[in-house]
Amino acid sequence: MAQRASVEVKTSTPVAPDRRMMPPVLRALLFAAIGFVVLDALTVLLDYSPQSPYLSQTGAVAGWFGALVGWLLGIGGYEHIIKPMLGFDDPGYKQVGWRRFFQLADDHKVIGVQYLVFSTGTFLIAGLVAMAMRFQLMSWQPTIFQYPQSYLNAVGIHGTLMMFTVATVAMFGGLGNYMVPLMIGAKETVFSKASGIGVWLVPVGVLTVAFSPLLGAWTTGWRGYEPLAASDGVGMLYYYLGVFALTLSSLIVALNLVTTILFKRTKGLTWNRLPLFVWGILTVSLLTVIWFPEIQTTFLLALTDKMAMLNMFNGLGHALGFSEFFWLFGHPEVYIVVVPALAMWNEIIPVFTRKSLFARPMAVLGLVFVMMLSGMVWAHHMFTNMRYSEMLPFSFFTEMISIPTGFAYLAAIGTIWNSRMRLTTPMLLVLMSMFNFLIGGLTGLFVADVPANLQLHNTFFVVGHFHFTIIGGMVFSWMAAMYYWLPKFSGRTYNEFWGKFGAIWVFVAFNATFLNFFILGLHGMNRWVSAYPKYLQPENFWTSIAAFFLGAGFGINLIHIVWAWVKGPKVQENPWQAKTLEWQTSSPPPRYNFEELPVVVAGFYNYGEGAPEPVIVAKQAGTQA
Amino acid sequence: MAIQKTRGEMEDMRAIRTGFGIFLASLSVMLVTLVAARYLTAGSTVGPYSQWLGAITTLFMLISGFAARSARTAIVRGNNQAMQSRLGLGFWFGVLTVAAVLLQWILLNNQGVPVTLPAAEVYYVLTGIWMLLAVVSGFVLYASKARGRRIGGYTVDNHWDVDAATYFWTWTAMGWIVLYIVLYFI
Repeated sequence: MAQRASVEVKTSTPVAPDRRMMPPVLRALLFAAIGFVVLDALTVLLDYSPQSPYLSQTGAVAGWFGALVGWLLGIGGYEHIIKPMLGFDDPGYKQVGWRRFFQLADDHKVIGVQYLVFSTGTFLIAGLVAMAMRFQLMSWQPTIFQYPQSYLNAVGIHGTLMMFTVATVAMFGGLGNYMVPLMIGAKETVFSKASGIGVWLVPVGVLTVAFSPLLGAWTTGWRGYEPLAASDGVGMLYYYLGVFALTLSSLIVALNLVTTILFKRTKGLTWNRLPLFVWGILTVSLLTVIWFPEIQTTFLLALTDKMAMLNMFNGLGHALGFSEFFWLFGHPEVYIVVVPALAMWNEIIPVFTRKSLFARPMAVLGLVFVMMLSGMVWAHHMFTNMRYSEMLPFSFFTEMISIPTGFAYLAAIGTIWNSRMRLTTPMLLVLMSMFNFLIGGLTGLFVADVPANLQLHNTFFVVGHFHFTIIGGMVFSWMAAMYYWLPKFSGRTYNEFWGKFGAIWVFVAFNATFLNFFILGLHGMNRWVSAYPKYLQPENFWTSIAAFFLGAGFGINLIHIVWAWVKGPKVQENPWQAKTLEWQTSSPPPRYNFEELPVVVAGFYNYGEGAPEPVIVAKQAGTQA
Repeated sequence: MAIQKTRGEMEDMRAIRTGFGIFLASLSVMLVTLVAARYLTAGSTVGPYSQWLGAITTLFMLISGFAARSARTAIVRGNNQAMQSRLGLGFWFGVLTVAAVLLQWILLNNQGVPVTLPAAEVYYVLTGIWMLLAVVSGFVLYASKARGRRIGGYTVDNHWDVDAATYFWTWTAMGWIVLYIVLYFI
């Protein structure tokens, strides 16, 4: 309902009294504190006894909801969403310059940057936690984590933040929000205000998860496993709540982007011409719309189960119920992370090879079929808890899913084949991502296979496999996309030497770290342990050294990208001579993206002699007609 | 008099309507998960719930849902006053429905039914999550009424706010009916 108000605001912004307002982030913090205190006090009043503590388990949960509502109202939800819903005027957006990034915004580019900053910041936090874990694993005895619970909690925080914030949010929420409207020739997204409020759920989720150990350690890892969670501290509840906030944010991104892609495509942008990255975001959005409500409900069930001490998911109830619900979502989540990366390869490769995209329909079909099959493979995570007869179909579909993944892969290889490639930093990172993903995919076949799975389950081999897929596939593609679109974000470019230097650094360090994980796993190194047999120490030691280099490598790339964004040399509008629509407007783009909406008359991935130009602007289209 | 909408405005409205439809479809996954949880954790056992109270709760919800739907029909016909009163009727019967569910919670507690009895815990959890959704959609229903009063009423051409609120509330009503069937009968 409030959505339409945003469209009205655009045409005639009501004149609001020029009152000084507390900076939105400070106001949000204040409102959050008030919300927490009020809701917690309410729980005390409702269940009063002289002995009851002011902050109880129930109070902490109720207070969190109060803080969440207070935070969202304070950041701008009060005047931009709630008041317009009740019939008051929206005061419009007064903040300009850098200040507009610190409040509720309705510009998809601002929202995209906010998502990128939050996911990058979280990458740093999760990365530092990983460094601490690797420091611990340099020795076979406890060092910095004196208790196994502390180590397991660190593993959980690392995994949760990486999966639900970095891997899900960076390409989907960040690049998706910024680039999709530009790539489809739209002036804005459909649910821009909802999107603007959704991004502010990310810091809530991240801080909730990061500080959850203050309420008591939790040892379940990023999966929040019941019934193990039942014996964990109150921090477990904040894991559920934090992830609830993070998934709600991604759900809003999905609803907004899927509707925008369906309805806001410019004239001539048929499904057959839709850019690959947009196809990737569309398939991911559909996966999110289906699976995120499922996991949110599961977390609400688990939260209640633990808070009210029920028996739903423990030995007296259905002990495997939570795991089944979790992995129903958990494996599609892997494709939610990876599909934008596969799409990104085929977005970048034709530009730098100057060759038409090979088998474009197959590349698109690959993404779509990965989406469709992703819900049929989940139980391979639970082979150790299943009957043999149940394993076969899941093993079969897990191996089958490599076929549509292969479509996207082979389209990339077919395009590179016999091309005269410009080996720029983005292209180099795409090649590295493809190599890493290949290792992740090949080792995935072992994990999908029942006899191998039963042997490798819970070892470092599995950890190596999914790090090659997620970090090797997604994070390298994210970096490629950042370098590729840097001129679009800022009108500036990076230094080619430092770009390649940073790319090679992380590639070498990444492989030195995670190839070792396979060997460690085969040698008997278990996951979820801070202390391990002494014979594994030398290998763990050198793996940790490589991991520290990897952490430093990401830092170098981050510093380089930030420097290039702010101070890098200015660059022409379309430095790569790419054909997609985001390059047909100024850099950085104006508030409503295009002065005149472009008209698409051909596909974007046709290169070579006589290839048609895909875009004409509206005015030219009018005169030609 | 009907105001002619531009093609762009009609496209925008179509996008918002479809997006809202996707939102409700997505929300239905929650309902499917809750139903699955009911059978996974408690089998098909029907708990010691008051059948009378369940039927009355459902009757309240049906009245509420139909009142909200008819509020939309009223504004489509341009009858602002009828829309306002029916939205109010829908809202207050919604409040009664939530109160009736809470009464069932109290009755279960007073009967000494252990909270951890599988049939009791699924009742608490499923209806609790449903009430959370009812509070959100109930607020949207209330907001559409309050907004209508403040902006001087909706028109035949401008009533998306009422549409959205009543669609959401209808979804909530249907959600209750699904839960009523799976909790009280099968």
